[in-house]
Formats: sequence, structure tokens, C-alpha cells
Amino acid sequence: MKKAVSLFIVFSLMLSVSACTVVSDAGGEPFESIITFDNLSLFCATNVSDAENFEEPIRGIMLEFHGISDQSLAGNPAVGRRCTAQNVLYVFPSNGPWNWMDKTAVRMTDRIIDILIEHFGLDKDIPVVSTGHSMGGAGAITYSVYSKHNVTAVAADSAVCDLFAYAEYNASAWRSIIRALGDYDMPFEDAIKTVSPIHLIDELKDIPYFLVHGGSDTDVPAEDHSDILNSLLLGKGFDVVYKRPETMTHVAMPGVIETLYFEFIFSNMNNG
Amino acid sequence: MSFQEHITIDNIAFYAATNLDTCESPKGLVTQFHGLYDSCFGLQDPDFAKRCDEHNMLYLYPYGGQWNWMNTALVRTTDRCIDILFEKFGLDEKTPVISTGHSMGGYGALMFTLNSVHNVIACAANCPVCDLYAFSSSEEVIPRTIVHAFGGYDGSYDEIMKNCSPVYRVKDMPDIPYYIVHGMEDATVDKKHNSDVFVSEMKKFGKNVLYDEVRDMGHVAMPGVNLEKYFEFIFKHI
Repeated sequence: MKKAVSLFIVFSLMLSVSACTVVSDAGGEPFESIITFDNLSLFCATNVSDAENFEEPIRGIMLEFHGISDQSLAGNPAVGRRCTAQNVLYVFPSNGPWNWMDKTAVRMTDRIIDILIEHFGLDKDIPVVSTGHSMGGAGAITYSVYSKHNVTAVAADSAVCDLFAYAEYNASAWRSIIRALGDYDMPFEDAIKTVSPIHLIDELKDIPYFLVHGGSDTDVPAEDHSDILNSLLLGKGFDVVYKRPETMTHVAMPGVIETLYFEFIFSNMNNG
Repeated sequence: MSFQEHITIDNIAFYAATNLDTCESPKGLVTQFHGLYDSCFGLQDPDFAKRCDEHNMLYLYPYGGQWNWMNTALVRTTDRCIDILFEKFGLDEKTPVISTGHSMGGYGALMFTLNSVHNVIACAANCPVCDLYAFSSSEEVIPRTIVHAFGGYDGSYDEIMKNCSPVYRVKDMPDIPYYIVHGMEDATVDKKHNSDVFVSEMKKFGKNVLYDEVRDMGHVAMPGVNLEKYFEFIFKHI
């Protein structure tokens, strides 16, 4: 028995030395170190220039993840202004048109937050509220599972919550999914489940969720997506607000709901 | 079951455009890789597919996605699509493949020769990015496309970018014929810092490269005479 234990320890040490060797062979800084504060604007839209002049301490970070096929770097200036008015950092990562919050998108978003925390001297546990619409709504939920940062709440608008259902009636989705996950070393269905919110239900954090989904959404029907996620979250006993305006189409939030959406976001930051 | 095994002959149209319904008795396969902003759905280049029909060649245009830079996901997906087409037509694994593309896809065509599991016997690249390391900082839009493609890789940025740049991989490039065409007025992918350097290095290593430097040609759009030479190269290897 002792011999077996000794062999196990030696084997474990060999494995860890081998792993260290792989890391050191990589040489230099990791890939994401290419993103720095000085070139941040090449990778995301932010309100950092406003934030330099905030008179009150920064209350938190609002992430906004974009929808499918979006290649822009403009972000949403109106949302940026709302954040500025609330002493909140606004970040719109340009994670790529078909990212589906793959491991790259998580890694790069985490890196952007690291840079902002360092630049502004923020507490490493500064509240981060993860938001987005459509594919970005899925991304907002998925990011809360994998991020190393302190995601305190999720707000998702017209979110794709079941990637299998989405791809079933939107055949062009398959090529975007394979673009995002095609280098995952696991079977296709298992890989999709890693980024499909309803399949992540047991991994989701016990934090507040705000879901909004239009009853007239034909691109991502509420009954196949947010309706199901809402039930699952409630079943877990989580704090969920679900707004489902019957006449709302994809992503087009009515003003009254939008007000609640932003109240929710800012209430989940410091002094909220 | 690997991730790519999800792709079958029944659903291949979700992942690539092909001429599988019009090609008769194929003797090989030609891939065409697209550029940076291609929305990639449907048959984008019917003339190319028709030429393949005429030469009894399968045509494969993978929907790699904007910003793919021939990353691991696209190599695996393309290899899987080739396997499926070969199986459908009863072709063996040594069946010749010719790798082609323009701009980012020209880069992809070159990198596919290095990374594919198939028998790539020739490569034709139109206005390819050859030094991705340098190109990665050439325009404001490019850095995020690079991160999107390679952000999941382990290793340092410098190491990964060199490993993914044909000019740094010349020694490793397979000993097959290459055809490079580049417009002398290309303002998008600078000829001097891409194809000129690559071709020069390839020749130093004794590689078989034909270089068509085209006057009054900008990015990708070839004059008719040069286009015919390009296709002549592609089809002469079968």
C-alpha cells in the first residue's frame, strides 16, 4: 500500500513538473497580455474617459455583451452615459460576431476588468453586473458562471437560453456555434451545454437575475428561452424578476421596462 | 465522438458551400477560404464552383466565420467536411486537395497546408496576409479579430503570432507548388510586407513558388488574364 501511495506521489510530482514545464515553455506573458490600458479601445467600448473625472468612487462595472454578427466597436453610447451618471464603469467588449461566450470571450472580458481594476485602483471584488441582449443575453448569463470576477447580478434582454432550440429553427446558427466551440475537446452536445444557459442551471450563481423577453419575439421566442430559464431559476429559489411584455419584439424593450432594467443594474452595485 | 463528428453529409450545408450536387466523378477537392468580413452563407463564388464541376473537382467553401484566421476550430471543421465529401464519393484519404483563398482566406490557404490532416498537393493564395504578426497591429480593427481567433490558445502572444504567420513558418511549409498573386496597388494587405517577403523567403528555402505581381490591381479583384492563370495553376495539378 505504502509503495502504491509513494508511486502516486511521485507520479503526481512528475505531472506537476510537466505542467510547469509546459507553462514556462510558453515563454513571456500570456496571450491576453496584448490587451493593456493604453490599447483598451481596440478591444472594447468604455466610458473610461468620463470615469477619470468621476467625483464619487466608482460603484461597479456594467458589462454589455452584444448580439450575433455584431462586429462594431461603438458600444451603446446612451448606456455609457447612464453609467457615467451613476459613477459606474461601462464596458462593451467586442468579443466577436460569433463568440457565444466561448472560453476566449470569458478570458478576454476578465482581462479587460483586470485592467480597469488596476488602472482605477479598485477593490478586486468590485461589483460587476453582466448584461446583454440576444446572443449577448446568453453571454451575460454564461459569463456569470465562468468569470473570475465578482458578478453580483445578471440582466438579460431577449436572451438565447437554449442553444439547441435556437439552432433548430435558425439553421445558420450552427456555423456560428462551431466557430465558437470547434476547438473544444469534447463531444458536440457537451460543448454546447457549456454555453447554453438552461443547461447551466446547476452552475448558475445564487445572485439576482432580471430577464426581459417580448411575447412577440419571433427571432428568439420567449416560450423556448426566457420562460424556461425563469421557471428553472425560480425552481432553484433564486431572486428573479421576469418582464414579458406581450407586444415586445426581439430586443426592442419598451421605455417603462428599460427604466426598471437599469434600476436593477445599478441597484446591484455599491451603494445601490 | 469528437466535436466535429456532428457534421454529416445531411447537414454539411450548414457549415460549407459545396458542389456535391453537380460534381460528377471527382478526382480531387479544392477549398476556397473567405476573407475577413464575409458573412458566409450560400454559394458566394458560383463561377469557382462551376469551374470545379468542369474539372471534376469537388468544391468546398467552409463558413469559417468572420475573424477566423484559420484557427484550430476552422482547420478541424474543414478537415471534417473533406472527410465527409470523400466518403460520399468513395475517395480515399490520399485524394489530392488544393488549398486556395483570398486575403484572410489566402492566409488561411497557406496555413491550412501546414495544419490539415489531408493530402494538400498545391496552394494558391490571392493577396494573402503572410506576416500576421506585423499585420495584427496594422489597422485598428485587426487586433480584436486576432484575439477572437486565437484567444483560447495557450502561450505568449509573440509565440502564437509567429507560429501563426507564414513568413515565420517558411521552413515548415510543405514541399508543394505555391501560387501567390498580389496586386501592386493593394492598400489593404501591403504586398511589400506580406507576399514579397514570403515569396523571397520561400525561394531561399528552395520552395516551389510562382509569384504573379499584378500592376494596377488592388486588393483581391484580379484582372481576367491573371484570374485565368490562377485557375490554370489550381487545376493543372490533377
